[in-house]
Amino acid sequence: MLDVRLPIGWLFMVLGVMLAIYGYANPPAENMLLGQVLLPLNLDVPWGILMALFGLSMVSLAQIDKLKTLELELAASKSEAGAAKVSDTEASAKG
Amino acid sequence: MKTALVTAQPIDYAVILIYFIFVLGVGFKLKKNMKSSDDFLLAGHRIPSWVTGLAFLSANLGAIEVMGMAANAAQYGVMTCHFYWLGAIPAMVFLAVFMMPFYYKSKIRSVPEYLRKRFNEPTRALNAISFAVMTVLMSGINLYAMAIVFKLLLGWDMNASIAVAALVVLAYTITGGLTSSIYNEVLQFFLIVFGLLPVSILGLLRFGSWQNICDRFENPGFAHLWKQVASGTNPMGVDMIGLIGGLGFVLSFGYWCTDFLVIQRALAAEDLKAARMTPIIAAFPKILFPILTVFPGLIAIILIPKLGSNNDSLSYNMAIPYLLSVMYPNGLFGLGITALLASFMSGMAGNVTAFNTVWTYDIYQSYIAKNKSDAHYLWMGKLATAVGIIISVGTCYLCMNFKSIMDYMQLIFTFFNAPLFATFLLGMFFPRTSAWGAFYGLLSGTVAAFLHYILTLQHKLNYQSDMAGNFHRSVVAWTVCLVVTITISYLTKPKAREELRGLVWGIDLKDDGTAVKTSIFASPGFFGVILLALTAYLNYLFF
Repeated sequence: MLDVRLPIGWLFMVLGVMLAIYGYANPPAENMLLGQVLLPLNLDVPWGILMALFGLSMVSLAQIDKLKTLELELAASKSEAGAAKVSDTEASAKG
Repeated sequence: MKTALVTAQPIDYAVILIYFIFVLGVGFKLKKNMKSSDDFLLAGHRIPSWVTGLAFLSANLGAIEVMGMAANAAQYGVMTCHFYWLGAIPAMVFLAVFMMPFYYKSKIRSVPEYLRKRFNEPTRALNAISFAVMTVLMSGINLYAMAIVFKLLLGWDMNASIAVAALVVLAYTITGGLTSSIYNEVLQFFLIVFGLLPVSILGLLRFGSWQNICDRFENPGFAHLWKQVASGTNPMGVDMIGLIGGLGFVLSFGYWCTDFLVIQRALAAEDLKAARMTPIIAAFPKILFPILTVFPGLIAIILIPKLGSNNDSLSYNMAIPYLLSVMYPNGLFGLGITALLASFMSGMAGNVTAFNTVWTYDIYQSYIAKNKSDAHYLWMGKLATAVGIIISVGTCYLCMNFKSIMDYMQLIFTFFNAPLFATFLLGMFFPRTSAWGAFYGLLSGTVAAFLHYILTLQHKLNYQSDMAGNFHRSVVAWTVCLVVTITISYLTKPKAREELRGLVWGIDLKDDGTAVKTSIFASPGFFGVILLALTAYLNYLFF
């Protein structure tokens, strides 16, 4: 079944990159209700990067788990094949 | 101070559009896994605990939580945190430690089904019908909240936005069932965190420290959880009995421990350990959620003193949407709107997926069409999903008549959840409780809540606020249910001890040798103690 981390990861990567690029191309908004606090850059940039990194970590975790499962399956099929080979050799020795 | 509202730009619409594409994509991707009614309605019992944990939290994270809690904070101050630290965490720990083993081990598919096993068919039917009514009544709140936000922030037509949201929820729940709903709830959880956290960060940047914020409250009681409760002069207008007995005990335990909408997420877990850890995993972020909901409400009332002056664009419910439009630049604004949209849609999908299960298994399969094929019940589950959504659209127009969505929700809980918690408490921990005792107790508790409501409407019972009335009503409903259940139980015959195996505390299932011993440091009880200690500390900190 679909690993939920994949859609979450991809969505955040796409949105994060989009926000960061848009924020970089546009100056910080002036109408923020922040009083004296002035932000040096558009908030979209750091937040977009943060989102993209979060998305990347979600996708990476999903991929690592997928690789681990594949390795386990491979090890299991190898040991099964090994066991079958041993029983074949024993059978031919008896014959 | 400029308070100009941001106007949506193509980048904001692009964020919303991409979110829609992903949501629908998840539904269609999961479609091929929906082979049986069990897959569709119960997610096939194969979801890991961190996913069910976040879904458990997010199913409750609809319009009420996000808009309602911020509105409450703007209206009543820090006391709103009682809904988390008094009204949620203890009940979530209780569910994980004491109640979840009964739910999961008895292999029930829904909460009403537990009532059938523990008591009898009539008790199950009563609960199934009242739950079905309650979920569709609640579901409409989300559509309403969404339509009003979209109208005020984006200028969209209310009817059109209700139709679009209803169609998207229909598309992803009918294709991917409960799994799709759970996946979207987890997606929504992260969207809410990323979409709303900048409000709190910017708010803190603006004022520098918590003390500076407290200094600006017109009412000093806004900064305290308990200080004014004893005197009864607190902003919320509640007293100790209402707060501790009503919210802290009846309403909170009634919701978190018996509402199938949240229990269903834990039942979808892959094993008992995962099911018990579900509420625990949800409780850790829940403790911190006031940062995303209550804190913005407090910031809003300082920055926008006019908030609450009308019932439209400056209603308390608009605290968060308004802050998004004055604090966020375009782009982030689209993300904030998407977070709200996601919370409304998954709040609605949560109700609809709980409704279709209870309708299909507890009403249709039990009383209307027994012994049909699984394919037939799968088809009925899908039909119930569509019908549930259509009814939600109807109830959406109903809750437009209530002045506060939080009051509307708590009112519904007092009718159905408050007496139900007494039934469960007696059913799970008191073997003498008889089937008919439970039935008449539940019925009389609900009737008592209705009568209490009528008396309040006629001003024969008066409370300082609607919320205080709701808290007291829940205590009345719970007490009536408790007393009637115990009285009738002693007058009627209880079930044989053998029939109660695995359903009542102290009468365990026979050991099948599959029980796995886990370290005490990995047990729900250990984490529960940590959670309660943290909660106690926060109560002390904001006393």
